[in-house]
Amino acid sequence: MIFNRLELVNFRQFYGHQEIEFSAGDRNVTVFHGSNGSGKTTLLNAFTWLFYEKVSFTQDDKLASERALAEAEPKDIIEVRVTLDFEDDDVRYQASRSYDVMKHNDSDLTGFVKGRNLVVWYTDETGNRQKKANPRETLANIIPERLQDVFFFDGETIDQLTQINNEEQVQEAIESVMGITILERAIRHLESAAKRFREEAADKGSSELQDLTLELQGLEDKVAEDSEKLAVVTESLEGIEQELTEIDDDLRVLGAATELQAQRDRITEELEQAKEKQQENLNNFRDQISDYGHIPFAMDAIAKLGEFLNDKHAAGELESAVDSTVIESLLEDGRCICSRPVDEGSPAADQLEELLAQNQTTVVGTKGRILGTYLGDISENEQAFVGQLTKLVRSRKSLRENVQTYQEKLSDVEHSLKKIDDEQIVQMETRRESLIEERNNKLTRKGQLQESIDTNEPRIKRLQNQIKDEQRKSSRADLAAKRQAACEYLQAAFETTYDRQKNEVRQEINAWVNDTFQSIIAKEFYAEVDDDFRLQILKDVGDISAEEVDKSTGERQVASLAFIGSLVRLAYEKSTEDDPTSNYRGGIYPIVMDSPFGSLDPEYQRKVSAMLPEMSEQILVMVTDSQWSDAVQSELAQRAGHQYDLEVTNASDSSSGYESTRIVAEQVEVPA
Amino acid sequence: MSDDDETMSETGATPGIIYYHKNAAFDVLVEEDDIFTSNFKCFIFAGMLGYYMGRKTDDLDYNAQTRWLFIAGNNDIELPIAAIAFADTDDPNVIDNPKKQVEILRQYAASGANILLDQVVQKRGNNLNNLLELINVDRDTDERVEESKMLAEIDATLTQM
Repeated sequence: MIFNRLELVNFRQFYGHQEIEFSAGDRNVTVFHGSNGSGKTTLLNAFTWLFYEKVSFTQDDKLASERALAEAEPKDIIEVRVTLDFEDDDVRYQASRSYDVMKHNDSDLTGFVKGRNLVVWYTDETGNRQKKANPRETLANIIPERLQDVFFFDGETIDQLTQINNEEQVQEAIESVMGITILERAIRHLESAAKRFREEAADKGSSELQDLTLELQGLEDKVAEDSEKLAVVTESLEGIEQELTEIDDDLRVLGAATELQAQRDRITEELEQAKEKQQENLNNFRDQISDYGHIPFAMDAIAKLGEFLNDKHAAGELESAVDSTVIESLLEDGRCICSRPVDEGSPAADQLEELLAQNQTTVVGTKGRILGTYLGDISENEQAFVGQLTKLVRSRKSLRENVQTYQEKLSDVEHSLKKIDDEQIVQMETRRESLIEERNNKLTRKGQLQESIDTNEPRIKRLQNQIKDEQRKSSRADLAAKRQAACEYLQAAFETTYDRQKNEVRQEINAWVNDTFQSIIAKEFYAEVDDDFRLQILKDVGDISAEEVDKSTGERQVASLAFIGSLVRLAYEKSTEDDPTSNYRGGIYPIVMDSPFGSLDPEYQRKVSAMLPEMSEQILVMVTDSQWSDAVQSELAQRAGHQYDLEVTNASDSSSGYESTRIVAEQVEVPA
Repeated sequence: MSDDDETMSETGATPGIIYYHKNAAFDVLVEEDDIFTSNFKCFIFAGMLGYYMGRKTDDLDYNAQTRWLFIAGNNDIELPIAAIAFADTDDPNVIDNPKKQVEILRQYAASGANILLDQVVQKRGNNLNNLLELINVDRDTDERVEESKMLAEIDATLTQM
């Protein structure tokens, strides 16, 4: 896929009709530079909106240019549109998504979406221009939505790929590029076929088998239903968190609310700290009770045992701490444990003989003496435990009061915010309150669903085993059971194949990831995607190879870039393989990246700039003026076929009084 | 398989797997409330509690298991187990007989688990508070200091060869 031309119409700050031509071929880089807020991220969003109707703006309903809305009359319709001309697999396409946004009244700067339209044109083999019947599906096939984070990414957050718990994201990226849909489909189909045969086996089997199968179906349905609900609740919680963050962000800058919101931020932080201390206190309780909580109950018995051992010791009836067999072997070898000789008749030998004689007349064995030597320690531990518990009980009370105080303070702030004489603030605060209530309800619901799933999953496993036992007993159900077993076997085999292929791909890209990473990072580090699909930066430390090291954001960013570059290369190489049995999707993908130099020092910036043109057939880079440093410029300018400046027209300079951005093509260097 | 087989290790001298009675109190105190780090720790606590309350039973299902290796070498656990077994039997041989000690422990623990259910989990109020109330054994401080001194002296005597 190669992008040719992008057209923006009233899309956010891109007022009016503006066009961009993209570079390809030898000079495959298109650069956009502009100050903060000039619209670089908006450009990235223009692609995700066109392909998936998704944007990452705080206010995602504000798509229409404020300037266009300000200049329009109430009830006027503003066209918001993104059109992209591109080629994929030797076919030329034009995709165009648009909204008709109506202005409500004079002060409306958001508008209301009256109409939505998506159209995809393509040029057929005879040169005729045709319209795709299902444009959404066409775009989804060309760049599936799950690939969007790989090919349209924000450089400032890209280092997340190397964070802890990133394995799911890394694995998904690899799966997306692999596109092994045939195997995935086969696994799904076999799963449903196995279920069907199991039902058939139950029909033909005993009534007990039927009951078990019915019970299993009920439980499986329940778990599936709960899992679906859990996913919905989780997504909805994410939405609530997002909206709460947005409200807090807005309140921080809304004049009358700024001070109170700052107070709330501070108190919330203090409340979190107080809760952490409360949790720490509970953890200490748990550790103390688990390790020593039982001792006080046994102290009387311990004292009784101590007195008994003491009496036996005094009477010479307590065996020494050294077992008789050990003493005998020392005497026989004529050598002590420390290797010194124990000659017959020597003081050491006499002492051992004495111990042996003593052991032979004892009532209580070696264990008694060994335990006896711990009596003082256990008594100290008991006293320390009682002292610790007293302290913990005391601090628990004050920690609980602290938490309550902060909660009361927060409630006061909320009350004050609602009393501000500003309808917008009151509305936001009321909305915030209802969101928090909703969040609490959803968190409770999430816990209930998770508990239900956790309870039912082991029951399902037990029932599956019971059913298998029962099926073996029933000859009438035998055939269906065999078929079911065959499906399950194949399913497992396909899953193994799928995992193996995924692992092969992981190993294949690992070499590229590391080559790219080491060509940029001067230190003795190397990058790899490990067996658990974690993207890691490693270093050989002494005899221990591949120890994970602490990384700066810059190094993590480079590792992530190297990983994405390797995925693009993998997709490209798979597309050139002429193997009809291949399961891989393959393809040529451009990379659209916003601020890829965010946390890099000048040397890394230069090296990353030199590497970028090699990462994909086509690169679109958005950088701030400050990131467009000499180092970056010296490398990228010679590979850039097009350069654009995102020129901001300030509100004071605009006739409408609203800020907008103009895309200005710049002269590019022509190689000598 | 007989109970004896299960609780004996290959050498026959120490118990291997230990079966014990696990009731709903374990689920609450270990899984939900996180008051104990493991079922094993809860089992030991229940054993000592049962001993302290003077209640033991052999009339319950042994539906959970642990291993002697978690006990062996942990003096904070091994010594109390030997001590309650000695107090229970007055037999010096029990001090060197882990298998017998475990038998006595799990009988006390079965009753102790029911005390936990009754007096901690099913009792009104916060479970941690209820448990702390149980642990707050009514022992005189002076008496405890004296006892501690005595035990330290015995310890010192026995440590000498």
